[in-house]
Amino acid sequence: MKHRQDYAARLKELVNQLAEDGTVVDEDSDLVDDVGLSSIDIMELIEQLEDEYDISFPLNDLAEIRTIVDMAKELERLVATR
Amino acid sequence: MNLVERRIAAERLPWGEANVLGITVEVDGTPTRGIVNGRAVVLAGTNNYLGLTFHPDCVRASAEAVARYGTGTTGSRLASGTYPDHAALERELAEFYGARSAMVFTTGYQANVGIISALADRDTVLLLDAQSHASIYDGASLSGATTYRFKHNDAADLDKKLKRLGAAAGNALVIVEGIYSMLGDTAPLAEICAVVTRHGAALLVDEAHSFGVLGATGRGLAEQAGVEDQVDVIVGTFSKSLGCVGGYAVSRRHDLAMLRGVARSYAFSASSSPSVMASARAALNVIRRDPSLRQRLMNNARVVYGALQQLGYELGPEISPIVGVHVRDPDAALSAWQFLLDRGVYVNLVPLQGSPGPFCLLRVSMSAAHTEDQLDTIVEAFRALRDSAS
Repeated sequence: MKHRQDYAARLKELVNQLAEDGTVVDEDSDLVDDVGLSSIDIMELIEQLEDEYDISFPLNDLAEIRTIVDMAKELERLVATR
Repeated sequence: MNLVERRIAAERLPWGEANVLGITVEVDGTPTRGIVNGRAVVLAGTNNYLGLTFHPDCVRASAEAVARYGTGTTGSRLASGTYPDHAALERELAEFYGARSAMVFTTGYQANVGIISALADRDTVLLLDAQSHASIYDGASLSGATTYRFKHNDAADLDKKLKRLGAAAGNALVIVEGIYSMLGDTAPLAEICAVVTRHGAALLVDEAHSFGVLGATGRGLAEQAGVEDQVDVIVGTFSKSLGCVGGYAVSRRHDLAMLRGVARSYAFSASSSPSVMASARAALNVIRRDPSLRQRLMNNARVVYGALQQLGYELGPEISPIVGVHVRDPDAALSAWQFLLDRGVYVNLVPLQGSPGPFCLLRVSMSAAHTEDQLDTIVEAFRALRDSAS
């Protein structure tokens, strides 16, 4: 069974692929303000997570997600309740 | 700085210094000619698909209504704002669609927001095509329903998401569009209907860009795909093919009348002015009796789509009255838009934030009213643009 740290590590890989070269991506970085992801990037990330973990990601929860840690928590919750 | 000052200071409009989003279009007595930034242009970015804004029947009906009923209703549809033309338009729309009932809203945006938030609540699940219009997302947000996106035009992804819902799929509303506004592609509606039916969900189709454009009689994609009886609600607008402004919802399967009290954008907005309702009625009548407009529109679309494809532009996936030309770089997109304007062609410039992909768009919208000369002007401007780039 995966733990939150595993999700965070995978998320960091995916976010790094979307971020511009040279951007420092920490687990506490704000995905929009610090990493510079666009809304299209965020949606691409969500589609990737939905396919990879066989989950559906509610848009309602997006407003609360600012960082990789936030998203890892949400991912953990969605996988546990699928 | 207080909140308002901070908020305004933080906002940046795309291409702010070029004032692209603040241009004024001065139409010069026809649907497809006008003056933009002081330059006489062919209008190829207006959604005036059938060119009915200057149809004599529509202009006459509108003028007669304003003379008889005045400039506005000053009331909600639920109070003093239902005039004879509002009621007649609802009857005529219901008849046109073979529907049990129709509701007319003041705008298309309000129709989506009002109907979606009236049908869905916190116990509902909404499944939206990823490229849905802002009014659909806003209606979903207002409803409080748990909302998921499925991949654009991907019935298999929708199927997967409905399956994950289990029994809750019976309490789900799926929302798709007939023609998508940015790239002009159509939904795979027969496949989507099959998935929705299999899971016992409900289906809403927004025919804003396909009403008057697709289908043997112009009722839209559901008619063209032969699935009208499987669609729960159709929403549409008068601000494109009908050449005025307003929105509607119709249903063959359900009586929508009970939603009048709970669709808040319907109940708490002033109704459309009588002149708008009269011109919408006249335009609907034109659509019903003159299928040649749709044929001319699609012919014009075919000419421009084919020519731009031959010129090597990257376009939306199918021939459509909306021809979306991809431009990767925002600065290049602004230059291209200005270049076309200088050569007498106005198209919509769509920023990254409004585009369905990682590109800007030069969005060309065709009209049945475009003449052959105007089609040539459009194509030649794009040819010159390509040549200037190479």
